[in-house]
Amino acid sequence: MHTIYRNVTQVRTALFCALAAVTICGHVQAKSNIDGAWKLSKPQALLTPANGEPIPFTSEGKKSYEQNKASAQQGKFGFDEVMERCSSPGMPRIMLSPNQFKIFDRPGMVMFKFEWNRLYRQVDMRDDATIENSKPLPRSGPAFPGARGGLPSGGPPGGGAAGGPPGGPPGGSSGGPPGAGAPGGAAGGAPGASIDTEEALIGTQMGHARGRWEGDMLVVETSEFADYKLLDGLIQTSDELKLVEHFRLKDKNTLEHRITISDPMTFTKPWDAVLTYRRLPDEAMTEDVCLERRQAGESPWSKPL
Amino acid sequence: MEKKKSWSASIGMLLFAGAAFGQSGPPVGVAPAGRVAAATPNIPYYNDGVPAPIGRTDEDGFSPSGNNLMGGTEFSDKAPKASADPHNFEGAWAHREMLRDRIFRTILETRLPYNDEGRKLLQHRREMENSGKPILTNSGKCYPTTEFALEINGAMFIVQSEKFMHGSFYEFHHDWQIRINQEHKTTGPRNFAGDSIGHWDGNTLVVETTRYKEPIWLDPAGTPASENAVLTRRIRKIENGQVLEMITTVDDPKYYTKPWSFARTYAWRPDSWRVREYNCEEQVGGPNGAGYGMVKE
Repeated sequence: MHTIYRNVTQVRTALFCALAAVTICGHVQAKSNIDGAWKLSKPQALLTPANGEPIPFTSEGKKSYEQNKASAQQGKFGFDEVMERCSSPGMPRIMLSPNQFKIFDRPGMVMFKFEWNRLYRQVDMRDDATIENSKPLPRSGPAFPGARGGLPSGGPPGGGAAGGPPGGPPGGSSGGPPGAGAPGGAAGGAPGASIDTEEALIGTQMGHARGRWEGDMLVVETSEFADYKLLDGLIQTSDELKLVEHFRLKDKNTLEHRITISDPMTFTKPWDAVLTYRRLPDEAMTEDVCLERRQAGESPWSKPL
Repeated sequence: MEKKKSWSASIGMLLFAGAAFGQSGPPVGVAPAGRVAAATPNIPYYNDGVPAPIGRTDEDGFSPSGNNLMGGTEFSDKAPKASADPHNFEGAWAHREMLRDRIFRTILETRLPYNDEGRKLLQHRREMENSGKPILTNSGKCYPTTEFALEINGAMFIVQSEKFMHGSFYEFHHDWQIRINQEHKTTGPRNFAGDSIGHWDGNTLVVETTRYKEPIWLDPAGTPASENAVLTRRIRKIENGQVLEMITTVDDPKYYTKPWSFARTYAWRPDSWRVREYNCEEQVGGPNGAGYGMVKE
């Protein structure tokens, strides 16, 4: 009798656990499979609030917007470095690209690769401890025995006799393109030479994105933007811009992207825009060279109006 | 092992020479055998007419200018490691060695087998640079170039899928797209980056690139290759998977008498996880365009 009771209890316990597991499993959703090729469902050049209300501009934001709109209506795009120079559209405007993009969801990283001008966006999925552990160890001497210490941060001029202006990437005999400039090697005794870990001194077009999975939703928070970028084809934002994004599969071939936009210099309150992408077959990306297209007389980007 | 020690010692000597003589002309006293009087006032040539190293680039192509970003960097045991899967190259990699400005020697430590046309083209490029009129390359135009991106010292971040491998480079925000287990295109427009296809040979990824839109530069100094050159890269993980070895064979009868190979290694770099933004069009896309004193070839 005692044995039977014990068996019944065990069965009950097992059933309870099984039910609990099902219940828990029912609530703990695996992350979605967002890997693959995607494209904006409907072409659009501008972001609009998902709630249908007007964009909550500050007076400065409104003024800048109206100026840009008036210029665009006259076919003048001096305010827009994408149209003028094929500069990076940055976030979130790159998501309005008419071309395909691919998502690679990998351990520690979600990589967006855009066909438009071959740009990429990285969402850092590492936790704080992993980021800290990824930094190089301090070292006590130069990188190579007998070598001089490295150059000051900012790198040498871009190469040869007529290389790019200071700050260009080191080394090209014929001068690499000017500008970004990989930092020079650390001098002897400095912390380990790292080429990409330093926080940017100025903001960038893509900003600094960190992400996490919340159930089946990819959540990305991005800040550290450049202070001269456009949110879309018309809206100028400041370096106080912050984005919180939620990527969610509506079905296996439809990806919803909700973007919460805040920038106290430009908007009186945060607002949401929602973009939708459709899945494409995983085909090769075309080599897109915006500057070449522009030289051929094509518009670098879709006109906003 | 003996070879490695000799190689290291050579680097040390050359670096010392570079440090001692700076960037003004060939390092006197370490000139390689065969160097002859300059054909132009400032360019030394080998007996066969191939430009010899000058200025900041020594015989082995190492730059003593301080571009030692990759060497000697170490990480704690807690740092993320590259995947143990030999077929998984995903993550951040960067040159393990110092920057090479020019490929002077093949993997067999012979000089590059230029033919007359290749030698003359290299002479032209070196003389133009030396006269203060360096030639504008795709690098200077912010156009795609896998060869430059692989040769200079920015990081690359690799992602893979069943059909594709992509290398994303800091330099020129370049995308090296490799189509896995696919055939070369035979029609359609060509790309500046050529057409790269790959397949696995055991644990080695064999990538063949050809059908370039324009002739390419194999390195920043102007080592030439034609638009129909075939570059075969054999890429595999070595040193417990923490280093990528890449052996490139250049088959280009337009500029070389026979195929030749050179080797590079790229170290796993968890600190380069975030490849920085390089918005080069912001500068070269301006009204003055690319150039900055460089001239078209």
